[in-house]
Amino acid sequence: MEKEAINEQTFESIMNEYGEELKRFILTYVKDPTVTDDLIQDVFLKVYLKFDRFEDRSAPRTWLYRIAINRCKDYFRSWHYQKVKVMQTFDLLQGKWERTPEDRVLKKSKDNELAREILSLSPKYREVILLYYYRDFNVEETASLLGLKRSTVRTRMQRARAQLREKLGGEYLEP
Amino acid sequence: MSRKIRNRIDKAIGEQRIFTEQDKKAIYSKVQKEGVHQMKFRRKNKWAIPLSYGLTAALLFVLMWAGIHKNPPEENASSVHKTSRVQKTSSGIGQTHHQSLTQGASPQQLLDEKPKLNTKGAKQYPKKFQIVKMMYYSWNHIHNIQGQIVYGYPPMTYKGEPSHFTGKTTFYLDLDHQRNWAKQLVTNKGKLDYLEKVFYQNHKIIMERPKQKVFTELHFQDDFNVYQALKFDNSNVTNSQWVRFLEDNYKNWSYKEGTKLGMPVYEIKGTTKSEAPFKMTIAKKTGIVLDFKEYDNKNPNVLDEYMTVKQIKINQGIPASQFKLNVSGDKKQSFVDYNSRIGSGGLLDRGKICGPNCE
Repeated sequence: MEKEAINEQTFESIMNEYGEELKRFILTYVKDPTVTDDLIQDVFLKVYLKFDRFEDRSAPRTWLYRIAINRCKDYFRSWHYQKVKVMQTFDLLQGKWERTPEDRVLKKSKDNELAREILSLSPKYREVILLYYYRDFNVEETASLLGLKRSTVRTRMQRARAQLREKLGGEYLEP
Repeated sequence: MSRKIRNRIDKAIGEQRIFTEQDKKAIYSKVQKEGVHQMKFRRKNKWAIPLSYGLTAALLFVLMWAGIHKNPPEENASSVHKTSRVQKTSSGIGQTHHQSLTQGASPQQLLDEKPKLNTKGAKQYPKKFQIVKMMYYSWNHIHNIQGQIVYGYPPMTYKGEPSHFTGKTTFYLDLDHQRNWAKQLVTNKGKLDYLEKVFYQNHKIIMERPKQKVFTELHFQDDFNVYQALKFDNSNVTNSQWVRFLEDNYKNWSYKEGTKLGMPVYEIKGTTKSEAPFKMTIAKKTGIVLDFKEYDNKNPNVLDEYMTVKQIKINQGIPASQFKLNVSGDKKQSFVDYNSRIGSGGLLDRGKICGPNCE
């Protein structure tokens, strides 16, 4: 039987329930508030368009994150990210704009060193840390969301933790 | 542990909601724009579309039949001439833009890729809003543009060394044919730090560092990347981000009319939302930025950033021969390598760009 397209009420409730956490995840993943605004729109547009393909056997939250991760990866692959980001370093240097991509995301706070270091990790380490520690997915789910083997997720998590340990001294993430 | 991390990150991002009603509004608008309702309609009424196509085709057939039989053949022939005359007289500026549609996205379509213009304050400050709008839509007034820009940043410490970066960009942008050529030269304390040439045409961008004899190229089709490629190295003039200083900040700036480089301009003076004084000169007829200066918000005598147009030609045509880049003899690099390993240790080293799959 063909599945019905999403109705406005369901769409609204999905946005209400998951919009905030998805947007926070995207923001920490791509580290650009303007791009985040665009990506969150794209994610929900896709939800609207593809809802009839959503299979009940996967949890809606996992499905939404899969869409968000794929969209973020498309962005990472775009030459806009690869090139224009580099050119924007001019702006970052001035100090008038925010100094680093992390600064663009993080508000001034004395307590943001850990967050800053997590956001400074390269995307492949950042994504596992964010999904596991920040968004509470387990290793299995993280692996499935990123299209990786569980062992790869564990290895990356180990390496990410090692990097954080090195940068933060005593303060690092426990397995 | 997760809760602790979550709290720390959320606190660092800010505890206020970031997914707002404005996001929802933008999402609904995107949903509408993508014609989703048509999709819904199609799904729910499987036969409605084929049926409506059938009816439309039948109606068209009836109308054509009626038309042919209503007028004698001579009259039909003259009506064709009439149509072509109308098309011909409407050529010129509008038509060249229309032609570009056949090659890809029009400037207007590409503008859809730009962050939306904030219309807050438009009613309260209608004249100022017109200036902002003109600046935002400057591409609609440009067929081709060439010029030279010089710009600079305040002295700073970079990699532990006192540095002072300045740059000069020469650019040629042809929006009608969707091609862009630019040369960017960056100096640090007067010494050449970085030189790059960029050429975009037919959905392919080539970037070359002639000093290092390396180049890279990339193909893409999507409007977003086309938009980025066309504004590359010329956007401060043709498609300026500095519109952000003016929109939603109307009470903090004023303008007067003047001339610069032989054109009528708006001379704008004000302060940014972060209370940094700035000056901007905008061409009255096209909205392009001819000059920009921003001063330190703590010390208004210290120039923080500047950009000024030295030479400019707008809509005077650019020979096709300008749009080429000879990279024979250079070593081709992958896009990531080209951007992440710059032998000179130059400015772009700081970018540390890396896709999700690289170290």
